[in-house]
Amino acid sequence: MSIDLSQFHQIFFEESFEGLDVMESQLLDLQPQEVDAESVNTIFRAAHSIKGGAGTFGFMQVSEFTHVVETLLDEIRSGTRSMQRNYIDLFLQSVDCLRAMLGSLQSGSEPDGERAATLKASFEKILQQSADSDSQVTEEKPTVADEGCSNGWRITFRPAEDILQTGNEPFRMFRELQELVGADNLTVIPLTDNLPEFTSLHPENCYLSWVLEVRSDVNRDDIAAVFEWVADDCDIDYQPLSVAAAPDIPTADTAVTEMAESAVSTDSTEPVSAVIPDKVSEALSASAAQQAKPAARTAGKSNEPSSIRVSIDKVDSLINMVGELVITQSMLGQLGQDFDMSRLARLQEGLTQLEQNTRELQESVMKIRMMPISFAFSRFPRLVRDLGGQLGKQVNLVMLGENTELDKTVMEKIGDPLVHLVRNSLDHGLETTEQRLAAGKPGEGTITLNAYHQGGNIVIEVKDDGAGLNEERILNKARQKGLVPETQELSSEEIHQLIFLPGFSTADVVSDISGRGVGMDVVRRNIAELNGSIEVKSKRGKGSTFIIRLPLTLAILDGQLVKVKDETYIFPLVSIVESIQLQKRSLNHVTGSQYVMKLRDEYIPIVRLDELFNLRASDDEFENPMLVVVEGDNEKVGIVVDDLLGQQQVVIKSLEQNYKRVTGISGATILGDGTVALIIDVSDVGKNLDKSAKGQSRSDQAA
Amino acid sequence: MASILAVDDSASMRQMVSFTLRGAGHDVQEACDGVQALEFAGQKKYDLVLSDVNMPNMNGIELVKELRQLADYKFVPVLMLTTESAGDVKAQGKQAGATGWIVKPFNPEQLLSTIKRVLG
Amino acid sequence: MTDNVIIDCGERLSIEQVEKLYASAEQALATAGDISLVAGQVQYCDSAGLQLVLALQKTLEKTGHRIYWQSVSDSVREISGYLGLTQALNLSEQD
Repeated sequence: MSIDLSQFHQIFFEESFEGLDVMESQLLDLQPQEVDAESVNTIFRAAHSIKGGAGTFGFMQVSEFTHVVETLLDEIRSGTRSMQRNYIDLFLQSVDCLRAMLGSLQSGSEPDGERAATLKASFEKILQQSADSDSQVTEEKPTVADEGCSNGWRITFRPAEDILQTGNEPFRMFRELQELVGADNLTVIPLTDNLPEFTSLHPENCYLSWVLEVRSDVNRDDIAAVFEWVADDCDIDYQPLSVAAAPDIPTADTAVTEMAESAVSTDSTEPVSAVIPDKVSEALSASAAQQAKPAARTAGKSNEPSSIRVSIDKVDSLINMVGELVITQSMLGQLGQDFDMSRLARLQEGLTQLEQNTRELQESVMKIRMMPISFAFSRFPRLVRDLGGQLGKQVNLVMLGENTELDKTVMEKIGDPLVHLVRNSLDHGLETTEQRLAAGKPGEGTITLNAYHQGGNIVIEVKDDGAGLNEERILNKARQKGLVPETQELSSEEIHQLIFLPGFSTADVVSDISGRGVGMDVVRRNIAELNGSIEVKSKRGKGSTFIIRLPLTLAILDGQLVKVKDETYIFPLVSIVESIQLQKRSLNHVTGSQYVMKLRDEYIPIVRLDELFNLRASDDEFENPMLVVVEGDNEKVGIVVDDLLGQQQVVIKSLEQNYKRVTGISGATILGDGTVALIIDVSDVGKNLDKSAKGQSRSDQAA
Repeated sequence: MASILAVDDSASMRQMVSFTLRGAGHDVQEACDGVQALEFAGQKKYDLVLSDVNMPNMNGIELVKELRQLADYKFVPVLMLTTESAGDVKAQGKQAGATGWIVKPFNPEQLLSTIKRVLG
Repeated sequence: MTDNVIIDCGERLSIEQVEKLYASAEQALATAGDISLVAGQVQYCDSAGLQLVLALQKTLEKTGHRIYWQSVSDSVREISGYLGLTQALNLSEQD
C-alpha cells in the first residue's frame, strides 16, 4: 500500500502558518519575569505540531530545525529552565525562519538552510549550557552489547499482571513475532506455574508467562520492537540460542514443560495465516525509499489557488437562503402560469419576498468573504515590538475591534498601507522617552489600532499619543516645494491634508523606518484604489489619528447613477465631493481646448463625458447640465452629465475579464432593467487631463 | 474492519491518519482534541483509539485516563501518537492506561503495521 | 456425582467478558462434575479468556474431572495456537 503524502501538504502548510502566527502572538505577549504556563504550553504545542507534521510529510530540514526550538521550549515548559528575553528574541527569529522555510517549500523551492543553521547553532549553544538538558535529550534506549545475530533467541517473557487491561495482548505480540521470523522458526511454550486456584483467580489479570524460542538469525532489536510497549513493566529475558542451546526451561512445573514440548509439534500444524517475511521487508524498504526523497515530492506546488476558510455556519445560512429563494421562485412560477389581475396583490407580495430573499442571499454570500480584521492586525505586535526596540522607544500597542469583519481582498490590500501608517506613527509620531517625560507625558507611548463598522464602511484608525503634526514645518515644506503659494493662508485641517500630497515627506532625515521610498501619497493612492478614503486629525502635543474608510467589499459599490445622453453611467459615491447645477455660461469659461471652472476659490478642470465617449453630435448641446465634482488621486475634477439619477448599490462586474480594459472605466454592472451600465474610473478620467488641463488650470489660477 | 477514533489537533495529521486507515478498510472518526474524542467515545464503542498527546483543551494523557473510566473503554486499545523527544510521555501514557505508542514521524505503512498489534 | 454442566462462551471469550464467565464457571464448579464448553460461536478470544478456561481446567483436574469442548470456533483454535495453549487446553484432540 502506497499513499501519496503530498496530498496533505497544502493543509499542513496552512495549519503550520497558523501555528506560527499563534507562536508569534503568544511570544509577543510573554513577559520573561512572569511566564504564563499556558502560553508556553501553547507555543510549545504549535512548534511540536509543526515538527511532527514536517517529519511525517518529509520536510526534514523543517523538522530538524523545529526540534531544537521545541527542546528549549520543553525545558522552559517543564521548569528546568527559566524564560529569558533573548530566548524570546530567538524564538521570534525562529518563527520568521520557519515561515520562510515553509513558504519556500510551499512554492516548490528549496528552503534557505543557512539561516536555519545559524539559529540552530544558537539554540544548541544554549541547550549545552545546561547539564540537565542533556539527560533529557538523549533517548533512554539501552545500548545493547550483544546486538549481533546468533542462531536465534530464547526469550522468557513474564508479563506484568495488568498487561491485558491496557489492551496489550500477548497473542498479538507472538503473532507479530511469527510474522517476523516465520511460523516454522517460532515455538511458543506457556508457563502456567503462576496460575492460581480458580477461586482466587482475578480473571482480568495475566498469570501466564511464556518461553519463546526463535530459531532464526534475527536481530535482537527487531524482536525487542515487538515488546516495545510492555518492555518497561514486563520481565523479558533474551538468551542467544547458540549459548543456551540445551532445553533449559526455567520452570518448576515439569508437567507443564512436558505439555509445552508436545505442543511444539502441534503448533506448527495450526491453521495460521502468516505473512511471508519477504513482504515485510518489502514494505520496510519501500517506506525507507519514500523517506529518502522528500524533496522531490514537494516540487510543482507553486501555484496553489488561494483558498478561504468558511465557517460551517455561514455555509448553512447560505443554503438556508437558497432554500427560501427556491420556494419564492416556485410560488411566483405558479402564479405566472395562470395570472390575472385579481392576483396582482399576491404577485407584489411575492416580488417583495423575492427582493428580501435576494438581499439576504447577497448579504450571506458577502459574509463568506468576510474575515476579522485581526488577520491584518496580527502582524503589528511584532512590528511594534521590533521597531520600538530599534528606535529605543517604549511603545504600548492597543488593538480594538479585532473581530470587525471585512472583505478578504480588501484586507489583503490594506495591509501595506496600515504597516506604513503604524511605522510612521512610531517613527515620526511618537517622541522619544526623554522628550515624552519632559513634556509631562508617560514615558511609554501608545499606538492604538481601532476598527469598527460605520454605515456600509469599515473604519480603521491608527492613533498615536505623540507630538502631533508640526503644522509650521509642514506648511514651510509645502511652500518650499511649491505645493502651496507663499501668500496663501491655510487652516490647520488644510495643512494636515498636505502630507498626502505626492512628493511630500515630513521627516528631515529619511530614516530607515519610514523612509523607504513610500510616502503618504502612496498610502492615499492605495486606499483610493480600494474606493476608500483617508484623513488625518492631529493636535499639537496630543497626537495624531489617521482615519481610513473603506467599503466592506470590493464586489459591491455604492453608486450614483447619472445620465449622459441616452446612456447611464455610475460614479462611486465615495468619490463624489458635490453635485451642482451647471450654468451654461460657466461651461463656456474655456481656456484653450480644456474647460475649467472656478468653483469657489478653486479652479477645477471640467470633463464632458459626452465628449469623452463620443456620445453627442457637435451641434447638439446640453439642455440642463449637472456638474458632478469628484475627487480621485488627490485631484478634483468636474464631470458634466445630463442628469443625476438615483443612488443604489451595484454589483461590480469586471470589464477586463468579460471584454477588455477601457480607459476611464473601472467596471460595469447590470441594472435592474437588465441594461449594462459602466462604472466611471474617477482617477483615470482625471489622469487624462494631466497633460493639458493641469498646467492650464494653474496658469489660470496664477492669472 | 475495525472502527477507529483518530484524535489530533493537527488537521494534516488527522487527514493523513484517517486517509491511511480508510484506505485499509477501517471506519475512522476524527476528533480534534480530547474533549471531542470523549464525546464521540460516549456515543459509540470504537475498536481502537489513536491519540496525539499535545492537544488543547484536553491532552492525550488526560484522554486515556478519562477513557479508562468508561465501562466500554476499560480494555479498548489506545495508542498515543508521540514524538521521539518526548521520552517520559511514553511512560506517562502507559501509566494513564495507554496500550502503547506510535512514534512520529511515521509513514502510512508504519501506521498500518503498528495497529495490527492491537487489532484482530 | 452431579450433572455435566454446559457453559456457553457466547461470541466473545475475551477480557471484557471474563468476569461474567468467571461467575458462571464458579457456580458450575460448585455443582458440576465435568464441564462442557460451547465455543463454536466465539468470534474473538484472547489471553484472558483462554487463561480462564485453563484455570478452570486445572481446578477440575484436581477432583478428577475435565472440560469437554462441545464445539470450538476457528478463532479459539487460532489464538490458542499463538499462545502455545493448544495442548494444555486439550484442543488438539478435536477437529
